[in-house]
Amino acid sequence: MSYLRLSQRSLWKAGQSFEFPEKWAKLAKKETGFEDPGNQLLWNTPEGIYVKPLYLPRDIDMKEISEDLPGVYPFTRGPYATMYTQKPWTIRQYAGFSTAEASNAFYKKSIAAGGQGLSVAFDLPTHRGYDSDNERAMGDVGLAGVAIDTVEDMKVLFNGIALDKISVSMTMNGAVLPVMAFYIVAAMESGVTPEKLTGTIQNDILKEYMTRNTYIYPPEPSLRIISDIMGYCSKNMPRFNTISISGYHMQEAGAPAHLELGFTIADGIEYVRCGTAAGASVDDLAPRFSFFFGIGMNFYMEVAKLRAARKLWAHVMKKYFNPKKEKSLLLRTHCQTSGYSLQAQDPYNNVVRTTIEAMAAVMGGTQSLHTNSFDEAIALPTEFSARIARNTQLILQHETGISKVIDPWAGSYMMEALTQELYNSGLAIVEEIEALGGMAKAVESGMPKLKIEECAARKQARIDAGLDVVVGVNKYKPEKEQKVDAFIIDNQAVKESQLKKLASVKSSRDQAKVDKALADLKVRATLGEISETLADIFGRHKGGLKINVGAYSSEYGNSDEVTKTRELVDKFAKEAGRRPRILVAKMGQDGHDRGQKVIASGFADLGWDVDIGSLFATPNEVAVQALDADVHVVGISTQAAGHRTLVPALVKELETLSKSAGLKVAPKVVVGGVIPEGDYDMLYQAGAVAVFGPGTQIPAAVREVLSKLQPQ
Amino acid sequence: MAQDIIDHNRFVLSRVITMIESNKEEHRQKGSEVGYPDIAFWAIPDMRMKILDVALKVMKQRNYRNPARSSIRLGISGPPGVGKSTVAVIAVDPSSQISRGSILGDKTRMNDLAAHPNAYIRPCATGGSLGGLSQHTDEVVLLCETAGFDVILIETVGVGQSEVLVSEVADMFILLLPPVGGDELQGIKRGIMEAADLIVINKADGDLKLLAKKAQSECRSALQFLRGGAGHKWWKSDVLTCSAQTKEGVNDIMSSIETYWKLGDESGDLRLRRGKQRASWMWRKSKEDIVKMLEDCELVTKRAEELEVELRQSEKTPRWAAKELVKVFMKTGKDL
Repeated sequence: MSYLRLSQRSLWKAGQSFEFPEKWAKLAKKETGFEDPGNQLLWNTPEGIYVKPLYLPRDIDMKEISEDLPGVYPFTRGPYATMYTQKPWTIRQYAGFSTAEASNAFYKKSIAAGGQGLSVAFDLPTHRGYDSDNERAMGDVGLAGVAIDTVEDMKVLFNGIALDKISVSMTMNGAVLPVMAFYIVAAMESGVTPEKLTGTIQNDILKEYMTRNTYIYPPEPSLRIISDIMGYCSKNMPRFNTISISGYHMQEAGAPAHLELGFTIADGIEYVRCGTAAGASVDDLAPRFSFFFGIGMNFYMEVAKLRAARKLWAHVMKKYFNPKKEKSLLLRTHCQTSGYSLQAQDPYNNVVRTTIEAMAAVMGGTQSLHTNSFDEAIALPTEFSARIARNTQLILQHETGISKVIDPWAGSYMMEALTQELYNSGLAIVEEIEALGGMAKAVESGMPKLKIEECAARKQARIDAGLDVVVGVNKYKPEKEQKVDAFIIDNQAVKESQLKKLASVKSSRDQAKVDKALADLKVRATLGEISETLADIFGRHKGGLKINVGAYSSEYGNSDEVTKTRELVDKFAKEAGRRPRILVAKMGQDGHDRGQKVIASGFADLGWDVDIGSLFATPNEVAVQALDADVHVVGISTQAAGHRTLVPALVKELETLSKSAGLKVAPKVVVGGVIPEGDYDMLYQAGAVAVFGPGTQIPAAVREVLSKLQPQ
Repeated sequence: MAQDIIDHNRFVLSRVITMIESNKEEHRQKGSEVGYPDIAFWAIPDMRMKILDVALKVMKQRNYRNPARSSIRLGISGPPGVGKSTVAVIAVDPSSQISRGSILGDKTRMNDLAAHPNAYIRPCATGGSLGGLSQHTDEVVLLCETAGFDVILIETVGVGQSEVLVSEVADMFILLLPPVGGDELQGIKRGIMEAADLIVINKADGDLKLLAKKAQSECRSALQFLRGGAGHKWWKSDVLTCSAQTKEGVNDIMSSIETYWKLGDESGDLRLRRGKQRASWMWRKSKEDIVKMLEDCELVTKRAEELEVELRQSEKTPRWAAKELVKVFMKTGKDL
């Protein structure tokens, strides 16, 4: 039934129709009873690509693909000639939490258990250029990654790890200058010179303005920092990848494959321009570029995406820059399984999801891979879940034989056709961006962000409406909820330990020297001091805000669910004399705003008046905005565990401010996002009236929030 | 509580604006019984009238003592994306016709201002009112003024007639335009440019600077053929450029506003303008009230349902049916 609905809808929308062999159509008609089975069984994917139920030789252009070989331009079949047959992909698990000491112990254990490279996750204040003692860092120290304030912290982080042997990948974009400098100084003080360092720095600021929002400075000075780093590394750190151009965060923010592909390649072009403008040659830069893609559940599409990405990069590099070295045309990539596809409900299903996604990454020919732990929709991985995640890759490498054949999908009618279609839509996006004057200009215009967010709202609506099935979430729900152990970090303890270390560094250094030469790290300037010094000149970037109205409801349609919910909202509006009003806010340094946008768009589409809070707000700022706008309820969107500190602080602020103004009724607080089971009680006790985990249906959330607002 | 507003308690001001905006009849009369027990003032019958009366009286006294000390009301409008909110405060955002919900994002679009302790920002939904203003915008302005804010900015997202309407709550209407020229400028309605006391071309920075200058001269020559300056004898509308990003040109706008304020005050025209505005709001509100009464009247809606059937079957003309409805309504003898 749902197939029929979907295909009829898509046909009606685009008027697309394909031809199928008569012999097959007749048989299929008999089996399905459909008038035109080939077209009625079409699958209109979020990429706007029609996946057909049956592919035929005529769907591919043999001339286009018959010469394709791995290691040969345009590298559709892989960047290297032998791929995994000689050496499998690198297992690279992204990790970091709490203090440098705790993360260091974890890294050593994971190397011993078969990990092959380090990948450092920093906490949000570090990303945003704040020391742990900054007021704005309050709720986030040591939660989503490790807190690094000084060279001393960095030395502890890599204590006992040979930096000339183990490659280190660092996810850092905003505070990239101090973090790179700490890393280099820490290595030098352990006797390793810069030219021996191997690894990758993410250093991809453009996607931060589009999705993750962990930027510090405005685009222009940020791009200058990137080209400075690329320039420095090409001279002094020849084995180090100077940038990791990331589509992953776009997919996490809701981008379908064609947007992820097109925007990422367009980002790459912008970075080549930015580096060459600073004086480097394309052949100095491009061979040190690496890419980073997300791999979701749409299996065929994800394999095709990696194949299309290599071809597209090779083609556009040749067309725009005509490099001399063949290496400049190679797209080498890291992949990570999708965090978005992980579910808090029935969480062991996530092991299966991650395995399938890992297979897609491997069959697409990735160079390294991170597999998520099954509990990451709930909290940070435990030792147990991290082991299962790593073992998923070890099993694929050692038990399946998958790595014995290069590019196994080549020659499949479906895969080759899909690769070409994705290539075409990716190229169209690249050309659209070029027409806008490049990715930096496009980002400034807000176009990419808006496109991604529109897709995110549509995706949420399809899941809420049951059009996209998520097992254990909107279908086949378990009767009893499965509980898993959550790993909770004591934010307060980490913060105290960081404060002590900061104070000790600050008291043992020569303050006059620090003031004189803040940029010279050997005198132990801290990350916050360096970042603030730069911010004084560059300014801190403030994100703009645009919300799609109608994207949610246009996908959801006017189902009973929507009508019923709108009626309840109207009823409330009539009783209260105004529409229910919610402030959807984010606090702390967590910049993931997909949830905030989707909630805002969904609530407005269901009849609410929605106010939207700025990113990186303090509890006091949120409370003042809530009372200024006189909202009924404040909805806090949380992705990074900061809620444990920040939500109680907000409730307190709301109460204090209301009281001081002589108002007896303070706005209610609801919380939604990535929240471990164990935090629910704590949040209710702190005064939240409702808590929503991932996968909550928006109409259901609207009804529950309303029920908390009914006048007694 | 009126005293609270006068004493600049912003959160009480917030709550009062909510009450003013309320659609609910009881809120005008007995607020204490309907979910707002915290404000005793609501117990006074017809509190909405009352609070506005008090506000008006306070303002009258204040202005009487020192006319130049009353707040200046600036109306700002322009097409979406022109960068209005780098400056504004009572921000009116459109409500959806279908879901009736709305996105009120203004505070985030005004990061700098929002963080300032002396700035109060209140996004309001149009609530289905046409023309880019809500039914109560004039009252909200009056309350903010009573609370002692020196500058009141009323921002609307303009498409069509709303740009003109905003001039009905403002002392000065500033039209913001993007740096476009030629054909695109033609698309902006003449009536809107006519009503503007000042036109500002924003985003005059970087690549767009030249384009902004060009748009400025095109606008200026277009203005020559229009009435300009809403017909003041003492003021001639001008076109300025600025960049909200680099702050270039912002000082020129400030001094233009100051001159306007001074000249308008001296000529007595601004007091006259506010008087006329109050008259036009009287008409606007009475029309909206009558429509609401009509829609709320059970006899009318019942008759309307029958008439709709007849209309669908082409048995009667809409003109006849309308007369019939009004007749039914008049017969109810409702106390107007």
